[in-house]
Amino acid sequence: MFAKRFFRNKLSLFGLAIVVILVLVSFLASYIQPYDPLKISISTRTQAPSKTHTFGTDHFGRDIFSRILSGAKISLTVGIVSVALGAFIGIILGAIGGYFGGWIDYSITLVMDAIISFPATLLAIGLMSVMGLGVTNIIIALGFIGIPHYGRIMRGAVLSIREKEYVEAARASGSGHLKLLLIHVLPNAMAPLIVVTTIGVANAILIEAALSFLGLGVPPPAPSWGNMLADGRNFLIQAPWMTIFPGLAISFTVLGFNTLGDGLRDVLDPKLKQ
Amino acid sequence: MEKKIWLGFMIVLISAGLMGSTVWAAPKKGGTYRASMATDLTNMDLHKTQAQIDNAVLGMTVYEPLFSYDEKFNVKPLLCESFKMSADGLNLTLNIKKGVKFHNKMEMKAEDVKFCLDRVRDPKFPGAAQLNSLRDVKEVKVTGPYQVQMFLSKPIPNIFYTLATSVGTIGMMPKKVLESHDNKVLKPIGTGPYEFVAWERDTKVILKRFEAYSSADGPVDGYLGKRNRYFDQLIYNVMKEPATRIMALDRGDLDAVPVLPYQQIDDLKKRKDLQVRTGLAPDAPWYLFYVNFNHPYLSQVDFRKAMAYALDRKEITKAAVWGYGTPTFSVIPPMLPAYSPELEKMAPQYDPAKAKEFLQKTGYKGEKIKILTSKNYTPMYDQVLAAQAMWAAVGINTEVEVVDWATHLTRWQKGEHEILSFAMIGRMDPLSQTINLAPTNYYNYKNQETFTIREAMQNTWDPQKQNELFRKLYELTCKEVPYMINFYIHNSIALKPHVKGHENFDLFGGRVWNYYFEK
Amino acid sequence: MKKYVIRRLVSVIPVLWLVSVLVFGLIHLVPGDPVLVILGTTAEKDQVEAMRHKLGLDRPILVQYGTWVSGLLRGDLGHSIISDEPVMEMILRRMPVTLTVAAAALLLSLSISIPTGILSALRHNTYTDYVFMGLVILAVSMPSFWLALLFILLFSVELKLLPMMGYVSIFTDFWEGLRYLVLPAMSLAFILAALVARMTRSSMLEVLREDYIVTALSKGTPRRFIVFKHALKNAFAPVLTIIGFQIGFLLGGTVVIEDIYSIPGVGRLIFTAITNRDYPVVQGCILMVTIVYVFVNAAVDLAYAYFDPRVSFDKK
Repeated sequence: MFAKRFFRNKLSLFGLAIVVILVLVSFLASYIQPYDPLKISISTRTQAPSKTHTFGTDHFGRDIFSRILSGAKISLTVGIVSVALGAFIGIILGAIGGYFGGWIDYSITLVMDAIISFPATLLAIGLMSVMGLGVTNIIIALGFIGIPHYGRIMRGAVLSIREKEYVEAARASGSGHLKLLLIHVLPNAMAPLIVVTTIGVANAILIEAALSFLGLGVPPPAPSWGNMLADGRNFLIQAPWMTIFPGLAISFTVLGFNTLGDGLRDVLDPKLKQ
Repeated sequence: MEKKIWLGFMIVLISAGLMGSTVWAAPKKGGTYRASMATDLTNMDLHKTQAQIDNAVLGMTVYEPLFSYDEKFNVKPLLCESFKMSADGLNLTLNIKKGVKFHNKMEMKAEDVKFCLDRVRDPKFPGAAQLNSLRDVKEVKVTGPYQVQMFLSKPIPNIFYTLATSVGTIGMMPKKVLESHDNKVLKPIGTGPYEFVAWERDTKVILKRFEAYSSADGPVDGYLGKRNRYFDQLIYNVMKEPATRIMALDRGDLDAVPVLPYQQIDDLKKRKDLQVRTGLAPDAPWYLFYVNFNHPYLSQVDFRKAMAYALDRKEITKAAVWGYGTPTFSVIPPMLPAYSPELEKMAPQYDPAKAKEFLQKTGYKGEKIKILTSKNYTPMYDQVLAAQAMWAAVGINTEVEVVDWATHLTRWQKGEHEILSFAMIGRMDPLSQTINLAPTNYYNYKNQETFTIREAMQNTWDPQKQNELFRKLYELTCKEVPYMINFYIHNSIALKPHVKGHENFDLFGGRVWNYYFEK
Repeated sequence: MKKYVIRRLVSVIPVLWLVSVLVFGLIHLVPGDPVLVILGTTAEKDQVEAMRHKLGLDRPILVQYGTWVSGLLRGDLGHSIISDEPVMEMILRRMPVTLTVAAAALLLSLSISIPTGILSALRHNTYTDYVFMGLVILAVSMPSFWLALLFILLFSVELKLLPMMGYVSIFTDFWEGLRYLVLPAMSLAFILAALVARMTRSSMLEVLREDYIVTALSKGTPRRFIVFKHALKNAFAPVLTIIGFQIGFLLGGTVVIEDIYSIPGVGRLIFTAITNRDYPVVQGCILMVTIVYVFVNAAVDLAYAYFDPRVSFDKK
């Protein structure tokens, strides 16, 4: 039933198509890319797009098209894993807080409020400065920043269910806490969580790009799209293709996840139109 | 007879007229010179800072040191009239020029000189710029209204360079003013040709002509001699982005851009509407790779030789600074007296086959070695990528580790690296230039022969002997390869066509006091 | 109501305290020595030690925290390690710049997004709606800094219409200042407008579906009247809440935009200070930013509670 609605919805189809293309690209990048994304060639630096180099070359003579293909893997990995991490921890914390209430709930909510009270980009910059560059660190930082978003939803779902009669009944009959949460609460939170995580991936990719652009993200020479934009900045006038194509790649990817998320929202719960 | 007198008179008149017209064509006074700064000033108090920008902008215009460089980069007295070094090198008498005015109209006296010489080496003064180089000065005494004597516990062979240096300029400041402000510089007051007007943080620095300037006179010889001060005002605008600077120059918002982005210099040179100069200055920063001698492979001389023979310095220079550098292995830069072209031949040349031979002797099995760098100074990063490919070509596997500048500095100082990409500020005297070959080096280099030679350099007064020892040190670095120097970067400047009065010497550090606008 | 206000404002305090600890702890954990940044590559060991001692950086970390907090309570944010300026002065000098850019972006964004959102809601499921929402999704998918670079390429480099970088205050020279504001404001507003348009649209849609609106429509009251009198007023409240969100977006996005356009604002200050390990500046700035953000959120909550009587005061 869900599948039927899903495939009828144009947005979700469009988004899914993009995501699928991206996933394929990241797996197949090393096979389809025409050049080694890390190979430098000073004699062919900053060349405009041509037959030999579809998107041109950068200031080290590296083929931009190949780098963009390889960059897909980085963006997807960072986006998906960081959201998974944040959602996992957030869901657990939100459930614990909402379920047990009292001081536990207060402290968890306090921490989550503190995290959310920082603009995400600033917090990411701060965390990355402390931890140092690296893909693992970005995933941790972005995951950390995302925790409150998922935590709040789970907590809300727990709170709304907690007082319901069938839950009281189940508890009276001796069901364990965990079972209650899993069977009764989680399904309720599923719909909003799915939407938020999908859009969360889109945001994570954007923040990673910003971090790498500032030099605090994926360390070069890895072909992260944000790194490519950072390089392109110094050659904006001489070689604008160094800026245009990585930006298009990011936009395309984020568009895919955003439309998928929007479509899922329409399908799963029209009332959720935020 | 009368006619002849008339003729003579006419000739005199006409020649006077002609002479007058050449005077007319001479540089005109006036105008505001607007240049860019790549970063903002860090400190107005030159005794506390070794930052290049502070010394470049304030060091020559607002402040003046006791000694400075002539056209051949010899150190000569500037604010001193004369000096005398005792035979044992332990007593330096400085006779100060009379009538040198500070910007507050007070005359510079011996007590001001003593005050400044004490201030820059005072261990209790945070950031004292010459704490180490003047460590062996026991005492500075005022021995006359215009005379100061420096008493040394040991001879300091590079003391004149220190007194002239622009890395921590010992600019003369008025004692009374500083003392009345708790030893803080609230407004820079010096003896220089231009005086301080304002510093709008992160925006600009404004200086204006010092009308009562009296420090220097005579024929222009490098930094010595007359300082004409044609411009009424100097404005230095903070423009961190190289692209903005060029745009501002194009739009006419700037008259000069003293630091050009390497990737654009070729194009800029082709333009007819700009004067572009590039060249090597004697204090050019040198870019190199350090290796940590605590590493199992990097500590082996054969491995280091393999690394050195694998590098094509010309290609690296092309990659890192688009060719606007001088590829060299030598710690003796081409413009210093100790240099000679045969030094190049002693260095490891680009020879991948030879590199592989050396590599085989070491038992290296392809383990990954880390190269530490940052991206704040792009040539530091760019030289790594170029070298990485060259090392891979002979079988040396490396991995790049990028950190931010602060971490980079810290790990350099703590020796927490394997291969380190770095740059050193060029120094004009052999001792300062070889500070990284001293026992106090940060990369665990322990070579008795090197230390002995450098120690000897520290104890000799004779510049000839010093240069000999300098060359000996260099030969040793060719054999031992304690580090691998790749290139010296060139200075560059782009000026609008109406800016006149600059020469190649000004690449070293512009003598803005002799520039002028031609209408 | 008063109790709610007080309670809401007081709830801010533990958050601020936690933030102060986090900020202090984080920045001091960062590897890298500000003294080395100041002294650079000519640094020699005893110079470094002397300076560290003068700056108090060699004292135990709890002592340093204590000194900072006691200064905070007196309104003294300390002095920059790099330039010795009082941090408070540095922030106060740059705050107006950032606020001007943010305000310009906000105004621009609201003037685009609210009409767009309303129009889309009124023309729900028509061509107009699809086009607008299509643009919206496109806009929120683009990185703001990429947009900024593209704008520079188009308006400054190609068309030579607007300055590439820099800042002139509109209070010093209005028209010139405006020229410097256009591109940074556009870079931020574009994406912000998309987000707000979407929210406006959905809250309008919800309100339009409400019974009393439907009733009024069937009674024959002219549509325009309904829109402006009822729908707008009720849709306003949710839009208020997203102002808090907008401020957050702007504060975050501003760091990168200020960097690209070389605007001397607080965002750039934070970024430079982190690079230089200028602890007092980083701590002071982040604390300030957080205070602004937290209070804005509290104010929005209060305004929301005030405007919408349906909201209960005992939300927790």
